[in-house]
Amino acid sequence: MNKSLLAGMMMLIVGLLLFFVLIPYGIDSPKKIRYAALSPLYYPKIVAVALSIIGAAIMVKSWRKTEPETLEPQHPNGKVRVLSFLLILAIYATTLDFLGFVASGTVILTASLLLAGERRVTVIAPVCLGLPIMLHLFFYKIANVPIPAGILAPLLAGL
Amino acid sequence: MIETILEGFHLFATWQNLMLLGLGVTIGTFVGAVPGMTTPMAVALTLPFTFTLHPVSGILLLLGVYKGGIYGGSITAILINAPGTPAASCTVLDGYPLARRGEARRALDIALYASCIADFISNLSLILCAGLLASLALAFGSPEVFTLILFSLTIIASVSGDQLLKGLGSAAFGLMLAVVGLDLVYGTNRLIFGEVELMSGLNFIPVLIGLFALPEIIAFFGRVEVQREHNPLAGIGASLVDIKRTLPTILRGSFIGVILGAIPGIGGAPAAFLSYSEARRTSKNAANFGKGEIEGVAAAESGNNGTAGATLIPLLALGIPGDVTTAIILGAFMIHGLRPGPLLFQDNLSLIYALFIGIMMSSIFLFVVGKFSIQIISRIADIPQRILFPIVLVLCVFGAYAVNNTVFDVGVMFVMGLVGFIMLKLKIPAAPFLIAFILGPMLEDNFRQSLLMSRGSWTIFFSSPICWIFWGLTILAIFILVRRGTSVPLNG
Repeated sequence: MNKSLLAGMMMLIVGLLLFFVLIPYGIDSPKKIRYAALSPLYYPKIVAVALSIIGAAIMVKSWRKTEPETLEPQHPNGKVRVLSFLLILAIYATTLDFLGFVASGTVILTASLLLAGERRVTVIAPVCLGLPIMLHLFFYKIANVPIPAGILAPLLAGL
Repeated sequence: MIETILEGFHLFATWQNLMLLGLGVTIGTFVGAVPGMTTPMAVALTLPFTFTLHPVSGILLLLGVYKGGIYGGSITAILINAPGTPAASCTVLDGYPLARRGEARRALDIALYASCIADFISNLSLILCAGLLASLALAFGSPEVFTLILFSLTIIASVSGDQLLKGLGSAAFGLMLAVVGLDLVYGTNRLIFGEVELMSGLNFIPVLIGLFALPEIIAFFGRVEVQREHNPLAGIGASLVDIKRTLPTILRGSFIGVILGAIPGIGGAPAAFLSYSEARRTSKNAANFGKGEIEGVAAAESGNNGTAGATLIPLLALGIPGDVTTAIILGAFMIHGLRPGPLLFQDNLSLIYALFIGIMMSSIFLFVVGKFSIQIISRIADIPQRILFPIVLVLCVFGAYAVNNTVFDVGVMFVMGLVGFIMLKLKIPAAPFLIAFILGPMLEDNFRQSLLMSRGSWTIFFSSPICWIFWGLTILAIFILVRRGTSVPLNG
């Protein structure tokens, strides 16, 4: 299946899903509205219809058409690397609150740098240990942003 | 008159004022360059330090932070594809492709020149035409703003290139995402599904970072890291030829910024997009826009920075803050016992002149600070991507959190990163999404407010000459686009 057809199909499905499911159940509208155009449903419904029509139009236009493939040289293990990085992002998102920004930042930086192919300890060590602490100090001490310290709270409190 | 100007000069001309103005511009530039650290945040953080200062010194410090912040947003937009502020989001369209080609220094230079020239013109407009522009701004009600935004949205067609349908679909996604939150008129829930954090809608910064920076990082892991091809312009700043070529674009963008900046509530992002759209429409290099066209950077930055001085027009002339930052500056005036508006011009004219001199000086400081910082900052583009991208990831996480101090925004950024990556893979341009997401709420709010005012009558959208002008421009823009036919896709 070509990419445009897939894109059109995705837009059509999202548009229909919005119009028939998400908007009716996800948007509350008062029972009595003097002018239809003022309803909280009016504008989102127009956009959902537009999205569906555009999706259908893309599908019709790209039906049975072939598209040239990307010219960028792909890594031999590209798919595995992308999936591994997405896994790293998922771990980052789920452990951020518990581990805190510094600890999780250090772990994720190390994993990402290794996955990206960096092997020099002289680069990995200062970046992974220094950057999260520096960012923490900047946001916490200078910008007054309460960055969650997580498991390193006692340690970071002393800085 | 001359006596009052001299009095104003005496009020301004102290070492303390000069240093504070320079410090403000430096802080603003630095903070603006950090994704997630917004200009209003920087101004608000600086506000307590002004309490004990003389009113002129305190307000100049805040104005310095404000001006620096507007420029600073472009730095990360160019270098790492993560706009520091929503207004700088237009700069990524051409700034980042230039940086990828090794021409970060050139892009940063042009961004700085465009910012300084636009800022200077905007300041001059504030001083010379405040009254005129304030009265023009007052003529803009909801129907006029609706037609203006509608006209601005025609840029979607031009940034979609030959992927017009996909671009329109992308814009529809953006408009839909902008709907999330509480309904403006009835206060009912819209697509929040019980999530309290979504009540105020999705914040711009995590969405922007997610949509632009993260997909680039994810895609990096799928491809081979190639050594940058030899580019004779790599590491070299903008030439005189570049400046000459972009000057008309900068001037046009500055005037667009001045006019839109004077209208309360519009802000820098629509001005940047409109300026970009006009530049692309009139440029000989229209086909290069979105691929790393220096005119694109100049247009975006001049439109954005053109609003900087003009936003102060409704504040100083009428006492109406045009955006969050000027609302904080209004607070600073009031803390010092001053009330902006016509009376301020009557009672404290020397203070106004002192501020005007300081505002003019801020453009020079912006140039000096920008020129100095570019020399250091542009080296970021030379860091190998395998090291730079993981660093950018962690920076983005801290930045997304800092906007509202909530991990929820970090989650939004990750989800948008995934959405952006899918869009990248399916060749759906991200730029229309971004434009619609930023302009969408303004479009809907002004549409509904107009209908409320007219009790449901659609004739309100044709009720004033300004509305007619923008309808005419919108139709003209669509007509030109259809006639010319678009040929170049932009992948944002």
